[in-house]
Amino acid sequence: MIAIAGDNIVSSLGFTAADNYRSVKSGASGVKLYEGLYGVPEPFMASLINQEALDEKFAALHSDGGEYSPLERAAILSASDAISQAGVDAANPRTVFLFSSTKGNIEYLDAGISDERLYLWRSAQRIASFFGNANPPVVVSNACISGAYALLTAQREILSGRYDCAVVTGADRLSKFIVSGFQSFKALSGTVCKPFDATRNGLNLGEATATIVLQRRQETAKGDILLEKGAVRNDANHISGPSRTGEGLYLALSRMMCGRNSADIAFVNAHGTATPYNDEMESIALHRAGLDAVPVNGLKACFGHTLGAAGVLESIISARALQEGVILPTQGFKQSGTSYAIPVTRNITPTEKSYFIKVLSGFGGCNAALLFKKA
Amino acid sequence: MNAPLTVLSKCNIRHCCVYKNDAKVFEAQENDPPAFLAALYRELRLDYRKFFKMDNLSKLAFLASEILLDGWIDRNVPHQDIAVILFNRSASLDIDATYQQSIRDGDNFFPSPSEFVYTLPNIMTGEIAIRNRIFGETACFISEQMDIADLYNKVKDVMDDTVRQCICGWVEYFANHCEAELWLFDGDNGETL
Repeated sequence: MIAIAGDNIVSSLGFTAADNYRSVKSGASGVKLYEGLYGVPEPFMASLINQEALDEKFAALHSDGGEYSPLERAAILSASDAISQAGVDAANPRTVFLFSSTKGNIEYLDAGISDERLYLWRSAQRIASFFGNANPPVVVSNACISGAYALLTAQREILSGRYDCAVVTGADRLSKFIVSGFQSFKALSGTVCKPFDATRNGLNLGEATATIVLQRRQETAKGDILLEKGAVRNDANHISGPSRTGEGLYLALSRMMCGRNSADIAFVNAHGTATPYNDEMESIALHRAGLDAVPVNGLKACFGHTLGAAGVLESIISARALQEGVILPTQGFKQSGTSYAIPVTRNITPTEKSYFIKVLSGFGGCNAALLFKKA
Repeated sequence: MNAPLTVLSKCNIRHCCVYKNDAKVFEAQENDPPAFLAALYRELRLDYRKFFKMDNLSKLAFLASEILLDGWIDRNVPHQDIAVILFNRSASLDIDATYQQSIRDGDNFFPSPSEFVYTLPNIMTGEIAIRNRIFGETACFISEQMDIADLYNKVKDVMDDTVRQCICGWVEYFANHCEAELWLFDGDNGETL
């Protein structure tokens, strides 16, 4: 069995998983309007990490913050908290580090293409080395499903017997590069986003780092959250548009549910970007997979779309909710707006069930589904 | 799965030379990667208009996969049992640099969505999936250099009772360095790597 041994979130809503979870439960959103930031001409809504507070906290951990990029500082801070919470030996040769990011330190590209900091593997090596870990870190860059894919890869690394423990950190930092790109797609909403709502009109971007420490366990304690299974499938349809039939997500969900009963699932934590096409696609895939009676929630109105961190961050919030026996509401959702009716949550509700599903979809046609269980 | 993996096919591209199963099948006149990719497309007599929209990394992955899969895949049927797992060193930095030029300053701020979409390295796995109707797992890993043992482990990890074959390898394109090494692995018993 593979259990979550420690977790952390660094985001606009706080610097620990517990703080972030509490903020989400209280109905907070870190999404705000920014004008003139990064030299992007158009104003945009986003959820950003408080850089001053981050640097202050990092200084308490390590004296020379300048050695590390802001993204690496956030990742190290996040991993450090999760590792100490888990009480694992990060330097052990049976521990592996995984790093999930779409764009890493892309902000340095303005200064030229020869900057070593641009390489994702370099950031990953620096994070692992900070903790004295000598194994080559695994770097996943699989668009918006990166975080979920990194968790699935970590599970496989442990199941294969190569490692006993995996430190999985998802991280992305907003920049002119990322914001302008999403603006060019006309994908951004001018308000706090509204996942699955009839009036949804686009996504908000967010930056965060999030860490899950996964550990092999012979025995589990009551309440432990286990990563049971995962599946990834492609739409084979379009590199940037979601499939009209939800093909890849449907196939991933079917593979993951194989032999399991949907009545045992407490909730599905959706990708729910609040773009018209994504949420519609998810409703189709959930319907086709026979999961349309399971409550669905989404977290993008709290954190924005945190890209390479999203799979890890949203799994953490969902795992904490399952542990507490509650299903979280979907901020921004009022009125159903998908062609297949799915029960999107509006209020916090108790649950006795012991599974949740995390799904994500991304450019390149990739879709991921993860199944977590409360022991 | 513990079944040994069989290599059905191999494709290598380096220094603008193409090898299929270790035999040279194409060589460019000069070492000019963009011209080489265009010449290789013509040499293969393909009629696939999406090719011309791709960035250089996706073009390289696409052409290498065409050579790799020739005779091994039926594009008329969907394939849920094939995975595509690619690795490289520089992610999508080649097209990232091109995109960055379009947003350099306020007077020349024309971000292009058709360039931005390629600024993710896993897009190349999506292009191969679309071309060959592959609905299986697709993924992209980034590492400092190619590590055959690591690559082999990832293929073994992805092979379960729903995965029959895996297209796996290294596809790197950055600053006129153009290199691909792809394998088509089969999970059935047979000759081992």
